[in-house]
Amino acid sequence: MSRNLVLVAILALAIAGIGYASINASKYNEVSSLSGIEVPTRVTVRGEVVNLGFSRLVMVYNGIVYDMDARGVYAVAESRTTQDSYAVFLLKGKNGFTVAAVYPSAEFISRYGGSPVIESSIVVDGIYKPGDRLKIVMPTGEQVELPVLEINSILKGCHSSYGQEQARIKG
Amino acid sequence: MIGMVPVMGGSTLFRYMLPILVLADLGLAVYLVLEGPIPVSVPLGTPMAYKNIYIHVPIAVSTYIIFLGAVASSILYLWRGVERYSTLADAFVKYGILFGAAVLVTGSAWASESWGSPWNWDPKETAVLLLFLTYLAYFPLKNSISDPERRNRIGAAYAIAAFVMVPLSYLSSRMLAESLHPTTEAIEEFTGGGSRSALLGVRILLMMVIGVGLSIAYARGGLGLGRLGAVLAFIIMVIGVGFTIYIAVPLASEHYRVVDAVINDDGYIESITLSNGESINFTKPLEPPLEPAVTRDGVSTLIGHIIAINNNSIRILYHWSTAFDFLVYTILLSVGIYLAGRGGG
Repeated sequence: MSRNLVLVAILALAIAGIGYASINASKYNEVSSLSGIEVPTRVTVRGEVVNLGFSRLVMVYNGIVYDMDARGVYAVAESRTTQDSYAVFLLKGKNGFTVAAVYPSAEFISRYGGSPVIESSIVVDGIYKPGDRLKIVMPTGEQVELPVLEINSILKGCHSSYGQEQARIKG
Repeated sequence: MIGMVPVMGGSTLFRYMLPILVLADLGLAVYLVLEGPIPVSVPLGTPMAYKNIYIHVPIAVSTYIIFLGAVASSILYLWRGVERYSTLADAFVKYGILFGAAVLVTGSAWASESWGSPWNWDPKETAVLLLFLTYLAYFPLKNSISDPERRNRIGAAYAIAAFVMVPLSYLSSRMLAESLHPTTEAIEEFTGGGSRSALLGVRILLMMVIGVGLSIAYARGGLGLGRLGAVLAFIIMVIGVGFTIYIAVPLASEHYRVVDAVINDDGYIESITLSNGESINFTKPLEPPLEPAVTRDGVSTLIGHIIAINNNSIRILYHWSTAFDFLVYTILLSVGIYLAGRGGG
């Protein structure tokens, strides 16, 4: 019996170790980790959302000039010359490294609605393109140039849903 | 447990009670998907995707219990050295793997809408996948050992050790702050009141009894239902496919997602904005299809929903993931009852 107990204990420790390490490895990387990437890479990262305030800005991306309507934690950028439109987030890492995360407006609105609830920290999945630069011109004339992360999806936790009151379909 | 296996396996009560419980659970699942409440607003996607709570959660909880059965049987085997406990552990692991696969599939379908992607390497997703893979290795491990006594002993030790992944998966959503998965308390908070919430508790209990019962029946050589087992599995499939079609078919016709809605002081819908950018102003305000019409903050509860507009009325549609998950659940029940009807011991 003691031989069995030893066998169970060894196996349990091994499985627990692998399990614990794997769960910890599931931790989403922080935006800071992108600073070491030099080629376009598919990434899933968490970052603090920079508050852009509520003002009109100008954005230059891929040689196209966009008018930017800042709406707090994100901005909607519309091209002056094409039909292109993006929702833009500035995601900041703990070491201050910041990327411009862009999401096609049509997809953003269809998924998140007209008044999206964006938390102060979000997890995004997308392609990080360190070679692409996005320039934002502030109302003061100050210019900020940032590497670009093209968002495939914003991964949302569903925690806030469970504290809600309940709804039901009539009829 | 020692005496329960032969007594239950051979009793007429057990033989017929299990199929009755399966049918009762199926009926309850249909009722909850139709009538169960949903959150008034959600961060992403349609609130109707949260109907999956009535399908995914009971399967998930019962998976843990089935694996607990494998542990209990394995402990008994190591203690008493009786072959039938090893057979029982095999049955529990087999059903645990079946249920575990259903948990992963139903969770991914739901996550594709409510989290933004079907697979996110969320700590809980990773933990449940590892739990599934760990028990999946149980049979190859046992089959690789030729000596029967040694095979059963190492198999039992492995089944007990693998269970360490259950508390790890349970705790995983607390271990890391940015987990997308809610804690058990969050789900309890949502389902904490009202008769329909109590029915979810009954469903979880039923599913646990069914999972354990099917495993025991399988280990005992079958329920002894003969062709009736196959007929019952077929009936469950027919009901499941029928209900899946009922909730999925409206999605084949023209439908839209609501991105904004204006509700007047009387609680009627004055206008809606759809995901294709189109805005519709109703000359005669429409009665809202949801109750309440607005959240406590005065925001329309219609936002995020997938709808169809017919004859100046709005119909809320189910999300495809609910139809898909219900189908997976009925396949699980059908396969479960079919295998238990034939027996594998």
